[in-house]
Amino acid sequence: MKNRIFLIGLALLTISCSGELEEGRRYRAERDLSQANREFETLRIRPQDVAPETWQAMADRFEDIAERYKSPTKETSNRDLTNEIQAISARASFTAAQVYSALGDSGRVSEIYQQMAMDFGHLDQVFGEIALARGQLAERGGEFGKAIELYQSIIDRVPPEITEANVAGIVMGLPLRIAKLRLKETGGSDPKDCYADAKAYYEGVVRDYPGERLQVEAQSKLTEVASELEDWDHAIELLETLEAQLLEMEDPPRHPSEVRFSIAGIQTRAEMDPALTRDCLLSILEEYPDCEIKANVLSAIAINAVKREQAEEAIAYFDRIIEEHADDEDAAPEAMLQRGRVLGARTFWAKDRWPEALDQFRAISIQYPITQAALKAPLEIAKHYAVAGDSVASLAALDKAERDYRSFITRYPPGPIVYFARERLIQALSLMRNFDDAVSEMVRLGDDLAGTPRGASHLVAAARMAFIELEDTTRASTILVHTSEVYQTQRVGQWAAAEADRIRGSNR
Amino acid sequence: MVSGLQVAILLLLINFHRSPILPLGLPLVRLLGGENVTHYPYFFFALPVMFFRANIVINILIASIAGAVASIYFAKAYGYGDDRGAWGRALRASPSLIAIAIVTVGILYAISWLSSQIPDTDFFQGAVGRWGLRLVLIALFVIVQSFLAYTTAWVALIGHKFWPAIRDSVRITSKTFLPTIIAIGVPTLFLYPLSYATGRIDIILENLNPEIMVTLLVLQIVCQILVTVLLVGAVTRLFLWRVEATK
Repeated sequence: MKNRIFLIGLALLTISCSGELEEGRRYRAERDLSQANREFETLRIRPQDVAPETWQAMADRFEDIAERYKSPTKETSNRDLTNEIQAISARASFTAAQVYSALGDSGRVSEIYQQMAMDFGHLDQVFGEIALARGQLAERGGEFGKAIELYQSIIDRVPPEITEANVAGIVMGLPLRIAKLRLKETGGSDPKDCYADAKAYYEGVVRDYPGERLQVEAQSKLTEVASELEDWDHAIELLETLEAQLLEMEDPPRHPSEVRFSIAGIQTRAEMDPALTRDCLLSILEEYPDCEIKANVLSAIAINAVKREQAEEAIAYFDRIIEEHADDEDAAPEAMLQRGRVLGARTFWAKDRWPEALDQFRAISIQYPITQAALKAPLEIAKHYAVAGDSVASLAALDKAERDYRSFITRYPPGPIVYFARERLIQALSLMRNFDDAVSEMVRLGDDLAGTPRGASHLVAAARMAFIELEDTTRASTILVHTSEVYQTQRVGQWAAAEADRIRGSNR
Repeated sequence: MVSGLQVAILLLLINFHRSPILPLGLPLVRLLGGENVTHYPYFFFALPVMFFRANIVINILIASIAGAVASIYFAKAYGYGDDRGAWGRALRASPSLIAIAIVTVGILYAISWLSSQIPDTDFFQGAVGRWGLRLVLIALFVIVQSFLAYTTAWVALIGHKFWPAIRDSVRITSKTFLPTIIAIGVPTLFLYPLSYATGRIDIILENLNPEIMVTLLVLQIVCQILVTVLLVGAVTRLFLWRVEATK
């Protein structure tokens, strides 16, 4: 009996020593990555409280996971499982790159991507994700040719899918992105030529995937191509075909009303007869009375009425939105703002309706205080007085707006709406010609949004204001040098460095 | 013994991915949970179900016999009979004990299955409907287990076979309804929070570490030891009291 037990034990040990079974290894890889991700997500809740050393340790941990699971075991013969484990390893590398990117170590990010391309280039999905990340880096750095090459390599290798789970889901957008980059690269000299490949790709998808969601997506992209080329009639034709296709589908990926709404959008962009656009918009309400975009359609009709100088009609549609979509925190306050603008526009009315407009603007911040419309309203009031030539009232309104914005900013935690409020504060300060404070606030906001295009544009705008309005070249060049440091691998950073040199040179 | 086995199974399941255990652990995990549960963290999502399934086998094959042995020891402690050769006697009665365990598990499983067939209407999605259904299910479980509570004692202490044991257990429960319901119901209610927690793995996975499921299951095993001792002791006492009263 004892001998048998010993033999069984020996057999188990032999099996285990002959090589790790890949299922167990995959489980451990998933566990290690999942646990690290959990910790990473916790740190990301309040990133400002996390020390750089902690981020570094986090990056090391992800790199360690990637290293541990990147190579297949010698004894394995299961290719699929090995690929799965390597994909987990690649995900760990990606997150490590993400952490380094947040730390501003773009050199290490590039190194990781290069290493990943060597280690995981054979996995289509991972290859696509690496190429996408490298393409985005190249694009940000202004290397459009390299970005185009990388994006094209994804298109050539990864078939498109309708999914958000992996890189296949973004393949459909890449030909259009390449076309736009080509246009930038050539300075917009021959748009038709730049969009030719994208057009051919989407036409191919429309042909190859009849009745599928991919066909619908490709049809939408073809419309975008036509719009970019300002081939308006063709764009509308494509949208009409798309709407008919969606109506025939059992479970359409988009509601047909959205396509009809896009037709109205194209008509507006093409500056076609506003009456034609109005009819198109009204047809949406008639044919799709319960569609989800009803508030947007009503708003578009109202704006169309303003264009046709039919102020009463516009007011009636804005009233309808305010009444029927009171729960919609976007549509209702925006309609109130627009309503106030129309009421305040003197050209529309025989008698002055400014008091009504003023009430309307004030009502927004009472009914919908934490919305963009509520934050825009104080500036609308100041603007009205400025246009009317009442500089005292305008200044008083701006002064109140500044106080309101500062109070709003201290009351709420940092986030999109607070950044929006800070941008309005900068606007108010600029209108009061308090450029000194406006520049300081812009730099602060730029730093808080560091690493984003919006952050860069605030820093550049601050430098411009310091140079033009304050005539302070030292301050302008300091801000530009700072911008070049924050965005050193990006085109804007290189431009800022050159501009700082130029300003300092001209000052000598 | 049963708890030791439960702990061993739990250890085997949660360590299935380790190289020395993998040859045994992986097939077991696949058998109890299917192919997908070999992924993390889905493994922990399925762990309570896998453990529950393993427990069914343990309950039928081992706990039924161990319960009989415990009844013999308790009976001796209460001054009835002899505990010599308790394991031998229980093993000899194992066909009846296992058959009774299968019937008990079968009925409880049938009740669960029937409850899953109730249409998912708005009422049952609401708190009142959901908790009402849970209470009805608990009540049914307690009633079924109460009527079959004395079967083990009949087999182990008196030497009854399968059908007479069931028949006489139902008869005793009918005569001792309230004490039996209390003896079975209180431990069931005591264990309910833990079994509810292990059943809400979705909340645990969303808000806590999935590994906490192991702690919950270990806690469940420990509580079950205490509850089982009290339960077998109480049922044996009631059984002896009723049997002696009818003499």
